[in-house]
Amino acid sequence: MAVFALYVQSSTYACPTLAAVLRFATAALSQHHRIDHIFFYQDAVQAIVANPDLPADEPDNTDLLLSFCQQYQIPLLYCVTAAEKRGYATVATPARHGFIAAGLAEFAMRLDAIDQVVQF
Amino acid sequence: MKKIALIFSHSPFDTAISREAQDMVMALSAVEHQVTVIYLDTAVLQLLPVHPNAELGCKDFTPAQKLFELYEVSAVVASEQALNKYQMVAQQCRIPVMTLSCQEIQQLLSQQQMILRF
Repeated sequence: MAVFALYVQSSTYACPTLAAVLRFATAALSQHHRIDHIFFYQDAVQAIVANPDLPADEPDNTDLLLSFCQQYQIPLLYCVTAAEKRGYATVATPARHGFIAAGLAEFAMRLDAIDQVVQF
Repeated sequence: MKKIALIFSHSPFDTAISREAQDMVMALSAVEHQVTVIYLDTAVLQLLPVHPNAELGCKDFTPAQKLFELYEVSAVVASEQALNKYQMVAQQCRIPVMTLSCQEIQQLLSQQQMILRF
């Protein structure tokens, strides 16, 4: 059994990044591996936006990932500095429920207990 | 403590990717990971000092490379092939770099526990 961290930095808008994260996480758990956390950095912090106005015929991959992570108790962390600089996590517009503010330092410290980082 | 390589392959002001990657170098080093930074392709241009009067239209984040030493970054590597492509020599770089061939970089990567790409 391996312990994974999933590190997401690609854009998550209108592309299959989060679907790939979910597919990998599902496969890893089915093989009895553990996902310690999922960390969002760079442009991927856009995933935390609370009320995206998605067209009705597009999947809400963020919602699917949030449900999955809630079910398996996988923390969804985001770099608060990267988010704030982009205006994504402010007092007026807080992050979507389920995402946890963290820093690069927390990500760095968590790596000590990780076997593999998978980047998306 | 993990052996972590960060591979940079973007030119300095091509989106925020390199700027935030540089922050990641510092964060990982600050918690005692053994960090190797590898500049490939266009990313070697990040190592060239920018003229102070250059009108970039964004902040020049590259001078913070000088903090790598303070943070005890284990190695800073520039691709020999990339330096040649951009007609650069290691002495032009803002900080001391180790010039390695593709094969040597491959070997270095095989010694790492984790690799992140920027």
